[in-house]
Amino acid sequence: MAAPKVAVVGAGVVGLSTALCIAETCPSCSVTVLSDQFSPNTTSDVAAGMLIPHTYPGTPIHVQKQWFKETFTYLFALSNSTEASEAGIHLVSGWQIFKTAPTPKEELPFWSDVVLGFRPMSEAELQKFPRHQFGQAFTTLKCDCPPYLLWLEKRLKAAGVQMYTRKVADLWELHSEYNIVVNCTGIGAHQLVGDEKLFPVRGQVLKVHAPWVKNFIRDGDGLTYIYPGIHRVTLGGTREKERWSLSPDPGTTKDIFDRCCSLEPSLRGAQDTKVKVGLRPSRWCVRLEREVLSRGGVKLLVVHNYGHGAGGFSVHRGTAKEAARLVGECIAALRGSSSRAKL
Amino acid sequence: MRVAVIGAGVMGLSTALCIHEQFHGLLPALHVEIYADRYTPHTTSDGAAGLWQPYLSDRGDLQETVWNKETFDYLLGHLGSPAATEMGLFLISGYNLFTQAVPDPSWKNIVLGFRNLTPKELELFPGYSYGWFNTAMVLEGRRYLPWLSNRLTQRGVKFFHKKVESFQEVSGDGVDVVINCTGVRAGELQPDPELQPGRGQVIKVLAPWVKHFIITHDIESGIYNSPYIIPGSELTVLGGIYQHGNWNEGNSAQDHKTIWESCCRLLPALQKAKIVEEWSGLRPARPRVRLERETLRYGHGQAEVIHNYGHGGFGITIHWGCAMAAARLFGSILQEQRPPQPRL
Repeated sequence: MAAPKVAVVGAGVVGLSTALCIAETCPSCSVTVLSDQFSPNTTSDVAAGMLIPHTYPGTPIHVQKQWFKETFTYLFALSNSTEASEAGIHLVSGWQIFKTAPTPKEELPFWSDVVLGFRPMSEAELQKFPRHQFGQAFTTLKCDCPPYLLWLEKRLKAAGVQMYTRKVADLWELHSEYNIVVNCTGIGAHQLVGDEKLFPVRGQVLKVHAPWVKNFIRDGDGLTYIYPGIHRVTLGGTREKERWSLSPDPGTTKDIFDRCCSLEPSLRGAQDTKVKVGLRPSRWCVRLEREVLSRGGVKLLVVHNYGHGAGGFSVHRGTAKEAARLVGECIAALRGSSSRAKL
Repeated sequence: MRVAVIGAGVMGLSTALCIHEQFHGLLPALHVEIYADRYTPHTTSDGAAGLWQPYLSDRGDLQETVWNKETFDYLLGHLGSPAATEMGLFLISGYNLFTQAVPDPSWKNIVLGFRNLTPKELELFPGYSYGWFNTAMVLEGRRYLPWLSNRLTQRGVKFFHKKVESFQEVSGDGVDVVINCTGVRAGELQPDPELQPGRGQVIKVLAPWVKHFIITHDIESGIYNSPYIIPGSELTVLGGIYQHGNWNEGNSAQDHKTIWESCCRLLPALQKAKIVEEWSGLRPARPRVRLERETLRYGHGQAEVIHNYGHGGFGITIHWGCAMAAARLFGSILQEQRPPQPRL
């Protein structure tokens, strides 16, 4: 069998990192990325890119932890290299605060021993947040977009991966050109493969110029957060289930700004606010599995890697590696069936 | 009551403000004047990165530790105010790195969230086996000094651009108290062999992805002779030079090389940073801060002088505590000068 031809559909953080993992683990493969959007117009570009995991109810915790750990380790090494600034990866410290003390089970999230220096906040630290009773301090990583996606694109080009702007309306379009299709379409999978279990959780954010903000602050309810990036601080946010609108909502903008200023008053002096909206591709569990599609005797091997919801950046590398492994299984299956065909 | 403050670095301006704030309402007329040959952005305070952090050892000086704490608490109280950004004040977390275990510093309970570094954190810094993490603040001289100047101007304090050659020069003219905040050049007004320049050089770069301060320590080389990286609101300061007794305010190519190479080794990501500025300054180093009164008698007159200089590399760290102490000394002068109360 000639070099397997793999199409990765989707060019957000999941699509690009998956394509890169496939190119890394299968050097003989021909990998192509197809997407109707590339950075800076993907959902990933809206996200702050903080490595703080979202818990998927339907995925075993030890699996999520493995994905997070792999992602964190990979980016940790990158943050400490000369490529860090180009890749947009940097360490950031801060606080996650709660208005009411969490239950003992919640106090130690599954990822607390993966991030750095995780510990409860001291009384003195909590004084900065008079309306909050409890908090956790830690250091984690942030992937700034567009830089991280552009860096992935650069690595892909260097690995010989082609990238094309193309709207794929049906996976079957690709069956004649490609042996394996990897579906990293995020929220697009709702229409592309008709996944009713996938739903948007709309997030509106503000990206402001406030370079004196060096620490992150996140309310444990996940609704209010301040994430300092390289050039801008991301202020959030909203979690609106089943809302598809990508248009910024002015009332929401003011509400986000006010909530963030109540946690960090110096933000009142922030300049040059840009408002963005993204649809978190949410699902009970990440869909990370193989599928064999059949139509009129023709088979199409598909690997799905979508539905990362609010946790895409946190687990992207771990799920990309797993998807690459599944692609490997597909290739083995193809080789198996092609050698059977020769007999 | 006329007060002449000599020096317009962080000490001069903050002492002037502190005195005016405390005594303006209590005296019928309080006139504060500032005399300096250098104003922001040309003072030593302007070049400093502005990180609040005392030296590692308090050298047994509890007084200085108290002043450091007073300054920290004062600044912390201003963090939430609308003035914070204009002052150049913000919270920042970061790392202190050592090649061996060291005792905790006197300021461990002053800063926020002080703790030892975990093994995984130390992986970031090959060559260092021990360290601290804490949250402190940066107060940028280049913003704080103009902010102080504005507050003073609003209060009617007058500024004079003048190199003062002697205490008599300002005190003779009806000035009641002279505040000596002349920093490294205090010896020109009154010889002080204990005061020496601690020359420093810094490179300021554009590296907005750096969100933490990183201070390394080499116990043998001494304070500030080991690389440090301190992010500001716009530029990141790279340093690691401390040359005792060196009066040279020009930049040295050798020092540039030392700073650049050692900081890039510490943080490889810096290699891509764009160099924007280079600056050298003279820390007013002294075994202890000189903060005391002196009555100078000369010719027909005498002058009440309050000395407030010799803050080395921790001027910003200690400034408000010292300003308040100087204000207390001023208060004691006023107390002495009050006419005796009649007893009925």
